[in-house]
Amino acid sequence: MVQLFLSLALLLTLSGCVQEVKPWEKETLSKETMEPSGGNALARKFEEHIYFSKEASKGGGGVAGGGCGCN
Amino acid sequence: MQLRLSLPAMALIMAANTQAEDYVTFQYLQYQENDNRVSVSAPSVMINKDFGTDFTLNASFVADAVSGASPTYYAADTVSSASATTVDSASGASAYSRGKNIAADRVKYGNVSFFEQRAAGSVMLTSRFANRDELIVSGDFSSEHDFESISGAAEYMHWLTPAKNQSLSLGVSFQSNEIVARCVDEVNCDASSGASQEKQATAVNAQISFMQNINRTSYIKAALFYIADDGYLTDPYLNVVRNNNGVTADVVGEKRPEKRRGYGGTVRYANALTDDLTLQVGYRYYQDDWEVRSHTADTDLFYDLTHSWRFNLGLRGYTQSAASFYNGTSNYFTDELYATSDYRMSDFHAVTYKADVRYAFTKAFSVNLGGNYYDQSTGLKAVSLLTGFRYNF
Amino acid sequence: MKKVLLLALLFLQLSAYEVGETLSNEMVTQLGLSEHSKLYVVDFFASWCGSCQKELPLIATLDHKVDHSEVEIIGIDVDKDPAKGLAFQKELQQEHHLTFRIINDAESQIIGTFNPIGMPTLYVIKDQKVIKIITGATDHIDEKILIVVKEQK
Repeated sequence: MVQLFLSLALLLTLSGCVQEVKPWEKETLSKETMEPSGGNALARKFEEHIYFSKEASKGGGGVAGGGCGCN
Repeated sequence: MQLRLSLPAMALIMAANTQAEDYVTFQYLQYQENDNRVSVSAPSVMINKDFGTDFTLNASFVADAVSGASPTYYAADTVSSASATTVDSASGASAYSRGKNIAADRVKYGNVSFFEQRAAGSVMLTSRFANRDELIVSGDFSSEHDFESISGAAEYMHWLTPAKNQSLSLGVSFQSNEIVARCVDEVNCDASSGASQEKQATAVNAQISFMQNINRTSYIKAALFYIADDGYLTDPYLNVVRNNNGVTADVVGEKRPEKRRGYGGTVRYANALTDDLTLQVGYRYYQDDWEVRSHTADTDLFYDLTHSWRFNLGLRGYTQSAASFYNGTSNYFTDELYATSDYRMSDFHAVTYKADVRYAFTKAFSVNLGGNYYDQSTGLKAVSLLTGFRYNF
Repeated sequence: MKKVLLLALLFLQLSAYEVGETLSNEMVTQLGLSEHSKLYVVDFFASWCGSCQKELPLIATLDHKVDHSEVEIIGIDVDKDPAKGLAFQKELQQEHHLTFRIINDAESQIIGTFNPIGMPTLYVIKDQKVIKIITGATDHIDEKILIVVKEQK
């Protein structure tokens, strides 16, 4: 599985769709507004709750971590 | 129980974010549905604290009071008007309103009142390793007078390359629910005691996700998930009508399969269009063996006007197909094993409009105010208002 | 297979200053690292980097503990927006008594040459040679550097 994703990552990098982001170029990626919760995790929790209780679907709502590697 | 506010535990793993920061936030939610249906008032608090560079603890707590009414079929008193039966939750909402072989004109569809109080909490610990991979473990509980839920989850996030532009995450969660179901035995449905029984249900959720930074201003994240629900998945407060021949009918509790297998995928794309403007777009596909299939699409736009003002506009669209055992009419079900008339299991679509604003007085202290308007094609409309503050320490 | 892929991905990055390598004379002059036998600690940071905000107060403490004739700490602020960087430095100087020399690298020219794999990254340099690299947020980094200082005596 890891190999599959690594191959995918390599392919994306080589194809030019993806540019290598250097560690010192991650200012924008580390912004709160880039997080799925937009910086308000509790608000996001409430929203998910309401949808979960009013609709017949669930799952996929929460995954840890944002789109950055700044820590 | 009516507004079953217990999410799969996986959904709670989301606070561990890009920039670890110590903060405490308080948020107050006011939620109101049309036709005086459900009304919720919920204060909540979350604290996030780093311990050194390798550990982050996040804990949250919410207490909510839910009141209002939920629509279902019920057996009206012989002399009753069209108004709904009023019962309090402690004696078991719809316990009064069932009956076998009753006159067909006593079958009504309307709101059954209830009042619920809930307390729920969550604790999550993120540990980071030398290569900055992360292990997140969390525990959650939720408690109502007729519903108890505890769950645990673990997720491992692995950076695929040293430059940390690709990551792979694997997460699993397990949830155990205890439900007090009244009037399970239709014949001996005692109105006062409700002949209650304790029922169990479990949920297992597994998810694999992949994140790729596309360039210095955008990333994409995709996930696949699988959910297995087992046990008592029926809503003990909802009824269906069976054997309605126009003269007599039975109003009995709904019944759902004791097993549900769902899976789906999500994809999210975030792009900082300019220094001040960020766009996020998300999509989810879901499908299960109850034949519910759904599509969810959402988009959010964030605008930082100054260092202090941030505006957020959001739009979400949702559409689902009905569960195979759903029917909303009063003269459909006969001896089918599974039957529900819960509108949430029907074929519908919904739109949410969202707007909120945040104002930061200093780097450490900010306040927020926002609102959502939810419009479902079943006729349900809901407004929620959220207000709160955040203090970084 | 995994190793090959990883190497291929790594190869896409430019070469970097690794442990044991010698810094170019231009770089030594630019950063002012020319005194022989003096140990230089070069720390790359930015205002938006959460881990850097945790690390810098520790480095400031370390700076007050060492003998400046033997050890010199130099900060490299890689903020693209110099105003943000300067405001951040001012805050550090006021709140954490940070007094060491800071070089602004808004164009990423210096950090691009060092090419570290993470942020923050700290290089220990002696006689123009890289003798230690510490990447990423590290607990008790001040003590860890003190150990290196003692080893080099």
